[in-house]
Amino acid sequence: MIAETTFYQQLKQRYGFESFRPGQLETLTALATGQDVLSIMPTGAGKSLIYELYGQVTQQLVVIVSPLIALMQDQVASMNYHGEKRVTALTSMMSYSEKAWTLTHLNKYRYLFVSPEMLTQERVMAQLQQQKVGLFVVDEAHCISTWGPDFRPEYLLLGQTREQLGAPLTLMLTATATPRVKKDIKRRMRLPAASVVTQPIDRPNIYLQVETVAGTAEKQQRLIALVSQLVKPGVVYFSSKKLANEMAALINDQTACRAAAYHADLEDESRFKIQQQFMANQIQVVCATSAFGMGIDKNDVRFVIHYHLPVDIESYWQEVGRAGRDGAQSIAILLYQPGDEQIADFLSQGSIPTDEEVHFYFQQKQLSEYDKDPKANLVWFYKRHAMSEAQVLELFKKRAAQRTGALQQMLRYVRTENCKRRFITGYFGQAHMTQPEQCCTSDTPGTTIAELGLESTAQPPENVGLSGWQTVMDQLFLRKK
Amino acid sequence: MNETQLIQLLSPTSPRRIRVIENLLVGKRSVSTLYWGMRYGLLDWLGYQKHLTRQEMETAVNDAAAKGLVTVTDLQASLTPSGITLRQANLSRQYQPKALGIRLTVDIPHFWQRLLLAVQVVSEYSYHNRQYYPLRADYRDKQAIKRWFSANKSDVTTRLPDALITFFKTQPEPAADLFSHLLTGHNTPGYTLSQLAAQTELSATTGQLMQTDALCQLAEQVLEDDQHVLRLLMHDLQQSPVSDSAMATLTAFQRGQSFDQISHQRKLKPSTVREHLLEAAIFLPVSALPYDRLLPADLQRTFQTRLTGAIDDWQYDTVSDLDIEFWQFRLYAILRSKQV
Repeated sequence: MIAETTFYQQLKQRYGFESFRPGQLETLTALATGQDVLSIMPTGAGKSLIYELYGQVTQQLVVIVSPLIALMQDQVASMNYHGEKRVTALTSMMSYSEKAWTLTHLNKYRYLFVSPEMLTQERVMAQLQQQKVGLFVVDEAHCISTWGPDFRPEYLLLGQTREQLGAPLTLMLTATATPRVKKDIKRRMRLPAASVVTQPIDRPNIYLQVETVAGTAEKQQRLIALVSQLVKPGVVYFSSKKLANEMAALINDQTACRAAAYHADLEDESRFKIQQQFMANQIQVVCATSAFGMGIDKNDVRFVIHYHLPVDIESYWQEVGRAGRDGAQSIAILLYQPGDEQIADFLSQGSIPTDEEVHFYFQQKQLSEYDKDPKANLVWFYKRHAMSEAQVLELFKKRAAQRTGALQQMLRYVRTENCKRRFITGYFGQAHMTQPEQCCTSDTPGTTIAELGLESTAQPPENVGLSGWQTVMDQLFLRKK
Repeated sequence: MNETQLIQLLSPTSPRRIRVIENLLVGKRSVSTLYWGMRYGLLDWLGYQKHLTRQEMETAVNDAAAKGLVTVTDLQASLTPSGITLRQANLSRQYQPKALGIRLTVDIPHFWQRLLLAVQVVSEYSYHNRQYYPLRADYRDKQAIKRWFSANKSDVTTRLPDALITFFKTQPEPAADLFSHLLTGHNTPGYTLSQLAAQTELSATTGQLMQTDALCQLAEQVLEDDQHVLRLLMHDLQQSPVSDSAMATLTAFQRGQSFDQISHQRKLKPSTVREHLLEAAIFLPVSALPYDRLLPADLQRTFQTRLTGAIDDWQYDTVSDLDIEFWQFRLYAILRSKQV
């Protein structure tokens, strides 16, 4: 049994904090008594600190299952930043030799990030079985639930994987889980008795605004006006990479602030630079796609604008959670144009194979020709796990209906004339909330950006042009004169 | 790829196959692409734009055709008189690369990864800062940087900037400025190429060319100077332009093995063995191949009398009645190209 004081000591020593944020210590103490935990904490509440600290205190290997390579890389970078060198991400981006080296030197690491797919590889499992895993972490655990918004079939195997690893102590983490998803996660992880630590998902410092616009031209104008008017920095979410690029260019062209697009098409180098520019406030607005999280924390984001309708409340709330992590007044604005639900519906259903596709892929003897197609892989995943074509068809039918239901909820949020905040907390099954004075467009429709204290008064950055290479060299290297 | 770049890759005197140019840029190493790449004097561009799509290529061709700069017949593009004039004018107006060819013998993309990370590490070190987000890099590159840094630690904060300054002084000002802004370090995130293109008058295509060519020139400087501070970063990045497999075939042939023996021992199709030798012939100097065995002296004499005029106009029909195969005709063209 690890004493609470030990966690406090490490917290101070490692991060320089005196106190934990809500939910962190509860989760740590539950883990310390040997209980498996499902911890539901809002984005930016410091979920990763829990397993980082646990690894520090127990000096054991922590395996973290994470769904996105980009996310893993950011987490590795972030832990490097905090001085932790014994961390790596085992990903498909690694070369063969790098992977082989890592696998045979697992004892050199305290933290290992892996994708669920990687854990299904025999070689990986065999090496991991040689180690004592002190803590098995399932990050973004909602992915395990067929009711979760980002459901990934590979996550279904994690319950089994965990048992293959000798049933280590397990921590499941997610930012967004309805009561039904919570139950599903525990069931599929085969941990029905896991304790649950839930933090309020409400973010009272974020004003919730929904604006309806008549058409595309008005939406663009409104975006430009908002970006000019609001205190920065901010993030604008789009449903397509193309539009994110175009709008970033438009913002650069028509406003005094600097914007950059940020999405999965960027290579590592550009991604790094744009993140660092945003951190350093050299760019004030990031035009991002919803599929692409930003792993590096920026606490002073003042606004999050959604240019398109998100496909479900979970992803919406996760993205809104980028704003106001420092607790200061912030705003989330959803720009809705009647008909936007058609794009959302297309995106939401687009990844589900049609009946014809299911039939076609079931008939194939080999996947090789289609192995780049995510739908083919999805169908084959079930085929390999001994499901019949009829069962798979039924499964996708249910999934489609569920996605439609999720989008309907999103639309209800847009249309409701009741309190938007109450709608969100109700959706996540949390009855209690403290309503801030300035709450949302339903409750205080007349609230202005100025009243929220979010009107930009800063002078636009002067465009001084690029400096010469001599100046760049002087900045890059501190040299004795 | 844009029309300006396309025009630069076309010839003022003869038509060029569009697919050859496209395949060269993408980096396809078929003998036909390599041969015509050599004939066009464009081998330096091999694999310059790995992600070039058919559509981008066609757009560039169509744009140039719409402006009356090129005409296209049978997938071959010729410059029109105004195309020729523009190409000539661009020679002084547009950036002209000097060192792209080194890409064939040095792994330039990895050199860039290493340079970026080296600059970041040394920059933070010079500010005595240990807490920063490192650039993501391949394992091999990271290991190389670690070794390099510990070997050079004592004076690297002087030597690296000095070497870069020396390098920048050899560059035209716009190229040096662009290149320096792509670097990243302490409190200096740097810029992406597209951001720099937007802030300057350069097109993204030209920006890319300036960056790559400048990097190639830096690589040349490093290779010419054993004492260069970046030298240790380079040692496992040098490569042969000839593929390993083609090189193995050549070595076996030089040891005296026949085509049949090589084909049998290396489990290669006979045509592949011949292609390997042609590939080696294209990239290597004449002295590196036993031409006498491949093209006996009397055959060379016959070729010499029958094949006259410009090499690109030679027709296999002219010699097909001889007891030869096509690859010998092609090899002779390669040999003559190198002797001119």
